[in-house]
Amino acid sequence: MKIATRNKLLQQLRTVPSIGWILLGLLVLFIIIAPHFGSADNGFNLFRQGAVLAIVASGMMVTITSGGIDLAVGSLVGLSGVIVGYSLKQGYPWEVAVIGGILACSIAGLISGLIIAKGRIFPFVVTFGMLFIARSISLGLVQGGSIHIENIPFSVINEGSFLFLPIPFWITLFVILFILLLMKRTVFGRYIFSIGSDPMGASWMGINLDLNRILVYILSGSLAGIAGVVLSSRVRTGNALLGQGLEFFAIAAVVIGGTPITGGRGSLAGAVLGALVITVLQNGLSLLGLSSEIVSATVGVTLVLGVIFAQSVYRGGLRANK
Amino acid sequence: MQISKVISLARPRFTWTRFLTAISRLLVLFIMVVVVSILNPKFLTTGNILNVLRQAAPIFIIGVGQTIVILARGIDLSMDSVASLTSVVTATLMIDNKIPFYLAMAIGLALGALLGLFNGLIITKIKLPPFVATFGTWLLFKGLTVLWIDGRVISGFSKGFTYMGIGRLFGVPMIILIAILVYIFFRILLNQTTFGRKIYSIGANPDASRVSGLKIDRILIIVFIISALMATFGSQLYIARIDSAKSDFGEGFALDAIAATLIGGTSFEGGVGTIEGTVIGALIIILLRNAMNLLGISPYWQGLATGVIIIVAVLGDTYLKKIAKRYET
Repeated sequence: MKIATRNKLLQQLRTVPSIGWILLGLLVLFIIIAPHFGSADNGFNLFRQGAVLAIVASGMMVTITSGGIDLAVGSLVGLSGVIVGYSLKQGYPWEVAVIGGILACSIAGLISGLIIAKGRIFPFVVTFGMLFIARSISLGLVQGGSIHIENIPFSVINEGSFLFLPIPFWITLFVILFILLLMKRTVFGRYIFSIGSDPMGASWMGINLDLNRILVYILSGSLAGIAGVVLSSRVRTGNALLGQGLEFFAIAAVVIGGTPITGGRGSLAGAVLGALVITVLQNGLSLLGLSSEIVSATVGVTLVLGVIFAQSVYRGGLRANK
Repeated sequence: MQISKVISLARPRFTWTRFLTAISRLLVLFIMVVVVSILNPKFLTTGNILNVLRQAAPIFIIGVGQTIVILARGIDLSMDSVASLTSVVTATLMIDNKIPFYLAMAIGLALGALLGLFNGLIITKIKLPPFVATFGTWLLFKGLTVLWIDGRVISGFSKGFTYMGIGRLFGVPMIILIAILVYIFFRILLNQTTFGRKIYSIGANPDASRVSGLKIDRILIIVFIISALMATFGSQLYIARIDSAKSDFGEGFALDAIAATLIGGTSFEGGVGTIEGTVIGALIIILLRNAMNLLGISPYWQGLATGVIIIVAVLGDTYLKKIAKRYET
């Protein structure tokens, strides 16, 4: 047990800096070559843009560590925004709308989790179905279009700042701290690691696999809901297609952050840094005036290279410890 | 359990599981047809049925590629952009460079094979998980497509090319005949050749396959080449049917192909599944869309139905397996 913990520590020390260096390198590169990248405005912008991906990636890191995957988070981000927009249009106060949006995503997560745990079906398959279902519900609610959000207090979520830093930054920080405590300081967190590395063994030890798996997907859904609130506040619309493809970027952020996709290990810092790397790349390349498709192609190449890099560090780490 | 799996690998034979899986799919398809034709008498006309089959053909052809990858325990997310890139290249070669359509299609297929080889090499040689690798190449190929065509819409293909999409032979639409040929080819490949059985074996148990001397890397690379080829071929037929091509038309192909495969009873675990299942999966997806259009339901709810059917199909399979086990032991 002691050796295992030491290995994990070494592992984290090895992988976290590697992605951190990539981030630092990108920041320096873009400050030099991209106009306005280093400005304070763009810095705040980065926080606002990165918040959504960082929140979703943190949830995805928990899911992947538990040996699962959640493909529905992108659709849930859209669903949350649509429900917020819809409820605001119906005249509900913004607090109710926000809670409603997040709650709907938690329920979607609960349903996924129930089917995964009780039906013994691959998380990939269930959440793949949920991806279709959630997107379809949000498309149906707004009939394909998007809802413009005019509520002033709601847009404060994006525009307001607290202690000179944008509110999305504080929300993200809160989420990260919450998951850090959850994974490192609670029984639930330790259960997640053991379920991910050896579900059979975990079950023999008396860990309630079903309950913990369900909780993981509720957590992942709720975080997607929070991310959806932040995103819809930024673009001031509820749109079903807002989070399209976000699930893949979140998975990529987690994997380049050094979390193996097979589960059992996870690096929260890596996932957040991975999300920042993707955000910085997207932001910097757009500032250089490249079209959005070329930006995503470059991000794709960087992801593959980043994963190769993360994996080689991971393998090197294992060899060094043997 | 393990031993029975190995024996069933030797040659496909009758099992209750396989029987119930097949029967349940046919039953669902049958019930859907009955319900829809009662609700809307226009459904059971020859024109509409041929229309359903015509729309299902490209999804089936692309789905075959995805089925083979999933059988080998992989997944190919890049099919969307492989489809877009290769068909856009095929289209520009025909329209801009005035190359005869069969030559343009051959060049498109060769490009597809190259993209598949690229996927396969990253997955086997660098050992990236297929999910991550094909997501990266999905983005990459998407960018290449835009670089190649940049927002143009290409149409006005030659008669010979569109014949494959909308022409008829002895009264049967050409595209359906092509889909049947593809079905026969892959039915034989998967069931009657050692290569086909090797795909099942890799999916069922990669470690045992490696120990028994299968060249896993080589087979996986070929599997990804086949999947890219099917994405290419399916999308070429698709642009022949709608007579236009643009950079983003392949979007959603990979998801449809995965959905058809899963609805068809191919296990995500690998090693279990059939081509027949994918035929029925593609039919169910298209039938659903067609029925909803006929019944006047907003297309935005189609995803809801697709998602529910995927989950119910897979959930149902686990229960069917339990029932089948009772008969088998």
